[in-house]
Amino acid sequence: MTNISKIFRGIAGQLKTFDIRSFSLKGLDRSKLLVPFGLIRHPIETFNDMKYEGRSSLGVANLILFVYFLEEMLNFTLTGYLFTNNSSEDLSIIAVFAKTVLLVLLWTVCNWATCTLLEGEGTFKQIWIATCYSLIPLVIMSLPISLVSNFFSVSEASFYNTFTLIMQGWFIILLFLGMMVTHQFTAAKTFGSAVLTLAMIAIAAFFVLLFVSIAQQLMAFLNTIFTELSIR
Amino acid sequence: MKKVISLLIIAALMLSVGLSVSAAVPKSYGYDAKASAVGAPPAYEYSAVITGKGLGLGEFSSAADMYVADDKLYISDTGNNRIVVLNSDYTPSSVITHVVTGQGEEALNAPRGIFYADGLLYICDSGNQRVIAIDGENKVQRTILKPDSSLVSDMADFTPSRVGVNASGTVYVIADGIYQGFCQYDAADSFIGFFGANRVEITPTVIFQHMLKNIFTKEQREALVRTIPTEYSNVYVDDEDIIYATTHTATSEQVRKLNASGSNIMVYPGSNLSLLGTGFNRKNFGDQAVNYVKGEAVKSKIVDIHKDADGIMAVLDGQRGRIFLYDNEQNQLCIFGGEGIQKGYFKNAVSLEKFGNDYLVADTEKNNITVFTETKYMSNIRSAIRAYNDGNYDESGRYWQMVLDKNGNLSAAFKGVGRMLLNNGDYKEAMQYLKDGNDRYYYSMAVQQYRRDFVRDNFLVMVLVAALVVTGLVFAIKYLKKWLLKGSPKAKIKG
Repeated sequence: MTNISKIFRGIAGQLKTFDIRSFSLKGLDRSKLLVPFGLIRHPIETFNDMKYEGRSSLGVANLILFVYFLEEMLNFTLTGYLFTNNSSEDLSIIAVFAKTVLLVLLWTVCNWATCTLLEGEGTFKQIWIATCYSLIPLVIMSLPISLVSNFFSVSEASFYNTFTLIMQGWFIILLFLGMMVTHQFTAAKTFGSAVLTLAMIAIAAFFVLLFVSIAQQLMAFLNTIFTELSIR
Repeated sequence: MKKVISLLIIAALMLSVGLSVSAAVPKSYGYDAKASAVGAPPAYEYSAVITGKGLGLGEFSSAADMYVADDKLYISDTGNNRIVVLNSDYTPSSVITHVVTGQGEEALNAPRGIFYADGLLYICDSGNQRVIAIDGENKVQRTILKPDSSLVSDMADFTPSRVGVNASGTVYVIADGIYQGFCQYDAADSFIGFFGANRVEITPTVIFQHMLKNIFTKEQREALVRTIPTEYSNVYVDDEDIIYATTHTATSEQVRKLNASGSNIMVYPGSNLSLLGTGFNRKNFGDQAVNYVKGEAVKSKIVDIHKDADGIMAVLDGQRGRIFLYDNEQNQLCIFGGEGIQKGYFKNAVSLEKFGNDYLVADTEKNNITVFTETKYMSNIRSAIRAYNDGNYDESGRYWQMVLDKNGNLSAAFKGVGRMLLNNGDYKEAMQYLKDGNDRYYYSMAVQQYRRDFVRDNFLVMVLVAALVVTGLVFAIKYLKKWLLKGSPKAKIKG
């Protein structure tokens, strides 16, 4: 019970410190735009700087996420025909938004909730920023890979698959290091918390589906009542 | 005047209603490259119905199987215990009710599957628990009995339902309740073994049951659904002695091509794309879209197959009485038939045969045989395939183009035109057509060729552009970094 009240108090605290102005890039120290690229060569040091020397920026984090969201939409249509079953008429902004922004949000919420209980140091904002910054390999690599895949034939599929694997592996490593530094966890604890976070995401997704289905049934029920009453 | 006008309007309305009613027959359809159902011109049209009464032989009674050989159509009329033989103009030739054995005449009892090979007519004489082969004078030349195997219970009846024979006289029998595959007999009528056994299809239920089997009590275990391999529904041996088998309980690989050791060698579309990963191949036959009736998925049940000399394979869906035609790479060509009581539709279609250019479908509930004749549209498809098989790619492409003019949704036609263009070296056009036809393998070939030509023609330009882009990028990054760092001299940058 105390844990639950702790969570709610935490959420209330987060909401109190919530500042819409911190989302904008206005008045940003321009050099902070270079920090995500620092992750390429010195990930741990850069994450440390971000946490302890104020080198992180919510604006930059949101910019990265937004660029990633745009790239994913482009990838949907630009990936070579051989490597995808998607076609441009199937593009749904909502689906891409869910796959990028909502997924990052879900990860952040679940990770924060898990790691708070595991006595991790990271605040909600720090986790969000670290997660968004970890997307940098995807931002850099995914679009070139999609473009180049147009010139690949079936026999070069292994190149495409390898590059995709490198990109995703790099992202996961960065995310792992980001969480480790943000929460000041050991590697084993980070791994454990990541597993717990994934489990929580699964549970959250289940509840969301449940809620949506119940809401749909409720709407249908209310709709029927309304129709009944209006026709009488 | 007003009255006249209103009468005219009413008359016009009634006429239009009448017209729309007469036009309300189910529309012909096909599947596009994305496996969604789209309209298609009719490929085959109903032309005649053969009934026993019409032949003057008395109504058929649950006719189970047909076979065409030597310009004769053999119909196994199960309920009437006879085999009806028709000439190529659908006039009766003879009726076989009795066969001659060493002991004298014996009556057929519920004959089911039939097959004709080397002058012998093989009959699944299911009521007499045997398969017999008779010659032109109805003399029994071969008798095949229940398999002598410990896997088959001595108590169980042997009810053969379908039979197939290859050129060397090996007989493949499908019998009710035997799940080990085909019963295979050698030319001397002795049982060799089971052939081409099906595996249990892995469904969520099967996995679930397998996992819980250890926890369940004995009673619970006995109440479980028995996991048995899917049963073969039909067998066909083509001109090249290759055995085709169909299963009606499976949901994919319903049609299999079996080699001598009984393994499936059918090449399914997209199976040469394993490098790209999964998700690009199709192994199921029949309807691609799944219909739900009262929450139950209604899927195609493949009950019969026919492969003709052009390599066109026809399969019969017993569930909805539809006939699906495929080319020799298992690309869908057309769909016809359907469920219904009108002429040209079926209530329980069980057997499919090709007689000349016509397809024949036997219906056990309507007790008749429906004849479908080819339309001009289908004859173009056939010509295109024939030309392709002969190596006349240009001619084939021209026919496919004609098909495409009629039906812009047919993947096979796009593939055909695309392959012609690829063969002629028109790679860019070919890429577009092959993409529309969803032919990734040939598209990949076209990409390779197009890329090679492009690089050869523009090599210098490409090198220059690449050099410019790289230097441009290097400078741009350098200056961007400088500009970004100008704001805060103290900022330290890693990397």
